[in-house]
Amino acid sequence: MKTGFALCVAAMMAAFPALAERRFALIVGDAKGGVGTRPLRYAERDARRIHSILVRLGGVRPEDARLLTGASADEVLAALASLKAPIAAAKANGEETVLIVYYSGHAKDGELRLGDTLLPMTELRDLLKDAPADVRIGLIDSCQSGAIVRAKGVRTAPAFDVQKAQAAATRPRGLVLIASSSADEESQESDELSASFFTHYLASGLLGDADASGDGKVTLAEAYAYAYARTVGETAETRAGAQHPVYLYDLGGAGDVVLTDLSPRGVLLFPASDEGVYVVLDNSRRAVAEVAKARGGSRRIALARGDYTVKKRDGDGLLIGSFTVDEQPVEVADNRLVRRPLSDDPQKGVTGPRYSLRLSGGGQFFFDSAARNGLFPPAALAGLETAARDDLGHSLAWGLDLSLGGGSATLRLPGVAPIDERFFEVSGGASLWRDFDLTDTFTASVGARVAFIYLARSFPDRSELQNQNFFTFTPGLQAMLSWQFSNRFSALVRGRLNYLFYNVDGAQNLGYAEFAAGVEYAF
Amino acid sequence: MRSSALFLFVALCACGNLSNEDVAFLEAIPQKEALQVQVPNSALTAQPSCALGPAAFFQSAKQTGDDINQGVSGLLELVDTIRAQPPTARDTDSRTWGPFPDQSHPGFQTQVQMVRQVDATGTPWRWDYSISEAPPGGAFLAVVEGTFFGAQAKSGTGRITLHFERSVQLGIAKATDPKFPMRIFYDLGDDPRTISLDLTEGEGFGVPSFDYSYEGFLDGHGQFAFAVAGGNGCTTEVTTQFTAAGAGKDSFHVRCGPFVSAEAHQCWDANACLSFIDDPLAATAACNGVKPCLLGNAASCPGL
Repeated sequence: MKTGFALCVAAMMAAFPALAERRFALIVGDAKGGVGTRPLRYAERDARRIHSILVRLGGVRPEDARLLTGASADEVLAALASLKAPIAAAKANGEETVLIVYYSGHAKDGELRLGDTLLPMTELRDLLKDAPADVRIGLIDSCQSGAIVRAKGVRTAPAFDVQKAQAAATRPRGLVLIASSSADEESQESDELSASFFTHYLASGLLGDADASGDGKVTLAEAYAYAYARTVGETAETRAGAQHPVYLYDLGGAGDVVLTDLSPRGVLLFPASDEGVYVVLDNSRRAVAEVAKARGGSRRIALARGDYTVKKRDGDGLLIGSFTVDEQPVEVADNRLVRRPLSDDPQKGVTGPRYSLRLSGGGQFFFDSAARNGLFPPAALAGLETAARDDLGHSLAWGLDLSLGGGSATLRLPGVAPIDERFFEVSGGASLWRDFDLTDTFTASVGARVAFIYLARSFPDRSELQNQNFFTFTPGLQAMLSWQFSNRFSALVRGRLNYLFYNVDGAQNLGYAEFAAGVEYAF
Repeated sequence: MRSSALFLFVALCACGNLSNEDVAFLEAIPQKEALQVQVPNSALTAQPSCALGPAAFFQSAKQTGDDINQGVSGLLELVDTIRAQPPTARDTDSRTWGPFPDQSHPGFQTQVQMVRQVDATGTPWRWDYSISEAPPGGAFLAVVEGTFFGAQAKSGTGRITLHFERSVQLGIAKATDPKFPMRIFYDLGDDPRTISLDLTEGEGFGVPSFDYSYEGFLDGHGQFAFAVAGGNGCTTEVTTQFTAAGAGKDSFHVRCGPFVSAEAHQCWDANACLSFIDDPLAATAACNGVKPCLLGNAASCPGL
């Protein structure tokens, strides 16, 4: 049914004389959604993927594309407004114009959440509706994004109803809105895909897997039908439940809009003789496309030049192959893939963690005054830490740290002249904590840490006294407040309370605090 | 159960020798340098061209002092062994080092034990220690026993008994060591610091009997007195005072029974050359047996 529809639209498209066309795009990705939301992991990557596809395959000139990440509502509106003039100029030149607006980010209660700013969906819809382009396409990938089409009525259907359009005698004109989920559904991200489900399948479709007609062009109808089917199918078993993309279709004229043209590009060609679900991974082993095909039809996936890995689940193993995409088509046949055990999954370990590196400086202070006397004097510490978030689930993060420190102190014993000492300390540990977003930029963290501590001291003025040292493990609790002041950098302050069991001069239970300030860089 | 296991894990992993108390114990053991007799080196550099001859008594006193220092060091250097490693056993008021091999005497084992007493404020006031040696397969014998009063040996009062008779028994004594105990009393808390050696039970360090007291001042000058019992029934009591530069004066008092007594005086310069002799019995070589013997200038004697 879908294939027939697509062929019909394609035939109508072919009947039209070729007209000059110019396309404009505004692509917005925003991981932050303000108070009460957790940062999205892949919203900005999704935006970059769509931007890349539209510029490479979608006929959008680089200068006509606006890619915004971490922008405010006003900045989005300004970027949209900035496209009005060139669109009007293109129309004045007699060119057909298409405006594509893509958004990936948070949304709730009918509003897109761009950091701490809000953009009502109705406002965006009205702006699109009133934009000067002949065809306006809105692609909204966010929770409850179906609200944007609610006013016009929504159908959770896999294909457009374009019967009226087919009867018309003019090229398509009007507004199409596609939302990743209905008005009461969450839009889900997938660590395995390193993307939101909807955008991943939309992107896969645009790269060629949605080309049901096999004409080397992916139309809006094909892309939607593909993204709808794959999104619903792949989210059916998730904890949040099935996610249903929806659309609003208000196109006059006839035919469909071709979103991507695959023909002149380097492609991976999946032959008709094979079937199954193929995942295409880029150099960083992240999924860039999927191909789900039945035997009998071939698929072309248009990719940028580069090296790719293709994997396919095959029973209790995997078929894996490496391919280089250049100008010529590269066939990906099953007999060119090598069978591997599931443990060799090239995606294994790729998805999930977000790593960051911290540099910190601070001090250490034992609560017991006797312990501070020479044994564990107040010390300055400088440390290097790694942190991994979204790796363990349950909003837990973990990290490893190593600190060096030391200083000078005076040992005071009853009746003995003060003895000067120098001490050196190495401390390292593993932490487990949970982050709590206080605002868009401030995050509090609470967790636990198990560390080792090694201390050594010498008595520089007393050569007859030998150096001393001590090693033990110290469990503790930690709390941290961080402020993200740029995309990758955050400033942080942290406090720790630790327990230390000391047993040389008798068994003693000691407590000490560590304070540090530092900078975190997110990879 | 789990918390016990965690505690055990943490306890097992707590290791090292970081200890203030260990430092306190070591501070109570005197260093051998602190108990050495400091006689100026001028005694060894006397010129052969001395007009009145060299200060022979002073020179012999220097040699005796060096022998004593060597003997004391021989036993107290065992302390250096324990300074090099942490105690084997720790208790609230005691420490034990060893047994471990005595590097200076192959096959021997050394063990050091210290016990302290603290007052009501927790301040240590008395320390008792012993250094024991054991021959291969044999029992430990205490070769050094000491008691120290105070908290820091370099500024306190104490006594040490060097059991040379036991080191002889063990076969680790030097040839010049006495064969009987030598007792050392010291007070290092004042200026002058004083060290007394009681070696009166028999011959040792090349002298037949020896009772020695030493006072050393911070500026380097000092004095020592000793009595030597001769084989002829006479006892010579010598009091020597010296400057930091090495000049000094002696007083000799010879007693031979209840009726015979004589005194002599000598002074010498920083080169250990005699500058004045007042020797009624002409025992000094420069007198050539002429009695009474009065040579040199009394004004040359240092004002000590």
